[in-house]
Amino acid sequence: MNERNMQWLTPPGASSFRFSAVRPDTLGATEYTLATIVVDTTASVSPFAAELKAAVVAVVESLRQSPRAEHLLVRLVTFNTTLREVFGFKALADIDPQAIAPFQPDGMTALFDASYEALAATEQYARLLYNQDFDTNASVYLITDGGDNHSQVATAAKVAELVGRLRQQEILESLTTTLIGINTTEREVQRALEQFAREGGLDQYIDVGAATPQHLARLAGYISRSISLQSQALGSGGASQTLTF
Amino acid sequence: MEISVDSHYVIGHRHLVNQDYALGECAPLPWLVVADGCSSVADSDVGARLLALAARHYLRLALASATPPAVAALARQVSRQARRSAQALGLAPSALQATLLVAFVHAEQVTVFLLGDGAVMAVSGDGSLELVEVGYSHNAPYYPVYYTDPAGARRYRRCSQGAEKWLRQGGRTTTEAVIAPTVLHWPVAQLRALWLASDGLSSLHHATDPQPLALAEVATTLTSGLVGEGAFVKRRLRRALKHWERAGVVHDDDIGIAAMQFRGGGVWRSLTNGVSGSS
Repeated sequence: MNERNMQWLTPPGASSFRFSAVRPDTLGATEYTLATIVVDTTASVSPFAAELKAAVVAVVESLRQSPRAEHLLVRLVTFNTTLREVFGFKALADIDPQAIAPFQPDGMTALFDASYEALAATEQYARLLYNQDFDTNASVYLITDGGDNHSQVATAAKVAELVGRLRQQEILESLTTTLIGINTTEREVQRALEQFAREGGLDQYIDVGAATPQHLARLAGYISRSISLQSQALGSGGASQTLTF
Repeated sequence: MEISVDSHYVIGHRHLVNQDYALGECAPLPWLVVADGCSSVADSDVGARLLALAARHYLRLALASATPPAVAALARQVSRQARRSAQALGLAPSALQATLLVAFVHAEQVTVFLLGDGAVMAVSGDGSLELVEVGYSHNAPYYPVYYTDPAGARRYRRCSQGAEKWLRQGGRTTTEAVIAPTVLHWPVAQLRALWLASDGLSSLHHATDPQPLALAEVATTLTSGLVGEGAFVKRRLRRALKHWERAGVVHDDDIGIAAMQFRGGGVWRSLTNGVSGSS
């Protein structure tokens, strides 16, 4: 598979963003887990941007060793004031983790918009796959070092509404959503993220702690294990068991 | 024209071993094979696979040549090849008691050979479904292995006196000699898809009611709407089985299915086959 097998999609009602995904007619397996990693690249991430990127690279490389690797489609998005798709829903074999460009931290935190976009893209692509008889489930990981301060479209309530809709529909067998706080030294920021997880209907909030190489490596291991478990749960009718960080 | 091929086979609820097998390829020309081993015969799961693989070998060669495959030649050569393989593995010749359904594209038409019982689902360009079902009144198909086993063929004839082979097509039921293969043709230009299925497709029934579901209803569930590409048979069959399971419907017998899809017109372009089947 290569870039020619990718297509651009726009979720219904979303005029401001589009996302890419591998064309279903080029997929060989019958079931897929759609994993989306959303990474904060606001100005405050600058001190540990390289380590954060290394953690994302480690997730992708670890997933390639997963026995479920052929059933995973992974998407990577960065966000600050705006969103940027690093790569759309792709098979691991088509992702070169070493080709991921260094993050360029800048701007403010449109966390709600980024969360909403990730979920809306998941919904749209899952529907496309469902309509062609694929079985899918999904996992979304939102990594941030701060609360929302710049979203233009979404709110926590709109995120919750979308999460609720995704859980009710048949297009996804299950969905897991994890908000991950990193380097959130201020209690105020932690509270804001806990509140977003609660009001946004997300499954859990995890505080990784300081952005040390050890913590980021642990985070990478957590995300890759979590995605693999969610993929193993595909076909069971439910979501994977929640991992503790 | 884009052509895609896929196949799948699943074990029946009352079976310990899956005796169905299905496969297909797009090149050199699209072809499908479904084999169904006799459930009461030892090692017929292996026999069915040997027959199907021998049919693959034959079709690859025949479709690369100018001469289209002929049903009797196919039955004889496939049977002979499978018999050699079975012998090398120390299997009894009876292991090869399996039906063989074959479809291939040649000279702008799809030809189907039914050497035993099973079903053909031909979906036309407008989406309408033509269902052809073949069965035997005494539930004993004339297996292709009899083409190279005169003694077995004689025994079969003796045991089949008075029995009928029936063919249901378009609301009509006709009968044929039990030993005659069924040969069918459709112009490629008229088809959106052609599916072959073992007789296991007729074994679906509600868990509380042994009366099988109407095959037309089952066939419509399988073939209707957008089916997509790639592993489209596996996805559709899995989705359909889930749907039936939720409705309390089970299938006692193994189901083997293979299908080819046609899209657009003009020059043919083969798409990749679906991934291999699972038991």
